Amino acid sequence: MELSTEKTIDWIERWVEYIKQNVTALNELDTAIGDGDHGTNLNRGTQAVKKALAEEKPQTLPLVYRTTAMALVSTIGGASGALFGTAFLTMARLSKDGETKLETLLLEANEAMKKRGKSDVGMKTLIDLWDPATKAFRDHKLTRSYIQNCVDKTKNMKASKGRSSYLRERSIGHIDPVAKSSSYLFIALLEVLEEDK
Amino acid sequence: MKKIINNVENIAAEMVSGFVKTNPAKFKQLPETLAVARVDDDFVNGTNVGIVSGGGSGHEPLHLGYVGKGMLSAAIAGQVNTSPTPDQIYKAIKYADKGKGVLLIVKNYAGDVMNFDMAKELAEFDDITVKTIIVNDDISVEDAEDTQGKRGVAGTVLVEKICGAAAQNGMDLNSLAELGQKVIDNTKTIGLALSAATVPAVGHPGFKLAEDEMEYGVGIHNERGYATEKLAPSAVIANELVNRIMKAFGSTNGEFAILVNGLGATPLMEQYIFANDVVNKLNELNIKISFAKVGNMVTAIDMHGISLTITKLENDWKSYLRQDAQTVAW
Repeated sequence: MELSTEKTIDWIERWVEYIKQNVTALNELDTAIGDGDHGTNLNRGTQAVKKALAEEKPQTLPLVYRTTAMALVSTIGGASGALFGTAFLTMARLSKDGETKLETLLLEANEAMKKRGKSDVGMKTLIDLWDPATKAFRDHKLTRSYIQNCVDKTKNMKASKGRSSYLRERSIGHIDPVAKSSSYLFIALLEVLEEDK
Repeated sequence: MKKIINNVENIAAEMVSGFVKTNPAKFKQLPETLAVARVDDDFVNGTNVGIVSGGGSGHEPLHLGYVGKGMLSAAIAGQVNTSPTPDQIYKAIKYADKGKGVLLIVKNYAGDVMNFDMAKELAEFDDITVKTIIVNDDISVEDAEDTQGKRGVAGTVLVEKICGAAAQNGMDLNSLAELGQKVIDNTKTIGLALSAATVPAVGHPGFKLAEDEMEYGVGIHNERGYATEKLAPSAVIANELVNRIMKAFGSTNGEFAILVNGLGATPLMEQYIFANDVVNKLNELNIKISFAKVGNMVTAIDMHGISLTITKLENDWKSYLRQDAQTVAW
């Protein structure tokens, strides 16, 4: 399926709003297995996205994705900035090359993040949300409960990438904060698509 | 929490600004970045390979204190304990490149590795040749498949010194990357803490140790170590660290460099006492020390603690370590 430039902006802005509403909750998740600032960092990044979209008023799909990517990478820092930035930069590049299917853009974004982080499913990272969610979206099976289920599954995983990996067994029992913040992106997408119907 | 700051959000920016303003003849801050770069004539008119490093703030004088002739061309500061962003790293690479390429010295943390990787791609898009070496000298962490791997800590400064001196002497990029990797492979560090650091945004120490406790194997971001024990005399601590590091080397043959490093809130008096014990222990083991350095080189904000780094020297490394460097902190 294709998502218009206008709808894409709507989608991203809804994600921005979700992050703003959940800063404290995301920080709390990150306190358990990280340094407690994921909500604050991502909110700084997504607020920069909102500002950049308003000021630059991108008129094409590649420009919307590119504006989003650059705002994220230049304001977040850390691993999450690089990973979210890589996702949107990949979508910018592919849409510029003429790819318009959102399923493909999302699947490729997921692959690019795996490559960037040298990670895969089961390592308790955002890939445990992105990988199943992008595949379910391709198969027209993405629902809110499926997304929630993916987030919940990270709880019993042992981290093997990033700073939380040093906790070994102690990382078990906590939801991955970046899988959680990623879940809002897919929930926002479902909202935009539902409004279309 | 008591800190001499204005605002938690502005810590990195105001620190970089203060550093540059107090050294205006030697450095400048690259526009719209927290990158510090050389402006001396040798650099401006030079044609050497550029050396760029950087990372989260809180480890000063790493990395900005090592910018200067004989060490780094530029260094980028991130927010406290947070990697710098790719756009800023890219600008530093671009500034450091004199047509011979740029070597990136990166500590092994997921955020640093990924952001420097993105910056490398941006620079390569501009036809700048870039090589990356990843420092992972902290042997208190296992180099296991199921973790991020060993962390980059105090040994980073020795890698920066040796590569910086070799670059100053005209070494090409490929040889520098090989040299740097060899130094990393030959460098081992273990740290210990008497009390944890207070990250300003958090406001309290990252973990608690009792009055009479210390922890072996801590990282420079309050990462917990491998053992919490009763506080012991300096000589006992020196024995534990020297034995563990030398066991990892497996051989006492050859020449070695040592770095006794304060983690931020350790008086130099204590660092020299500990250094005295380290040297005594190494002498006892008949290990030849060809270079030694003591001081606050790679810190963890206000952690009270110390780390010991030992590098097994090869070839010209001794002379690279001894070569003059015109930086604020070496």
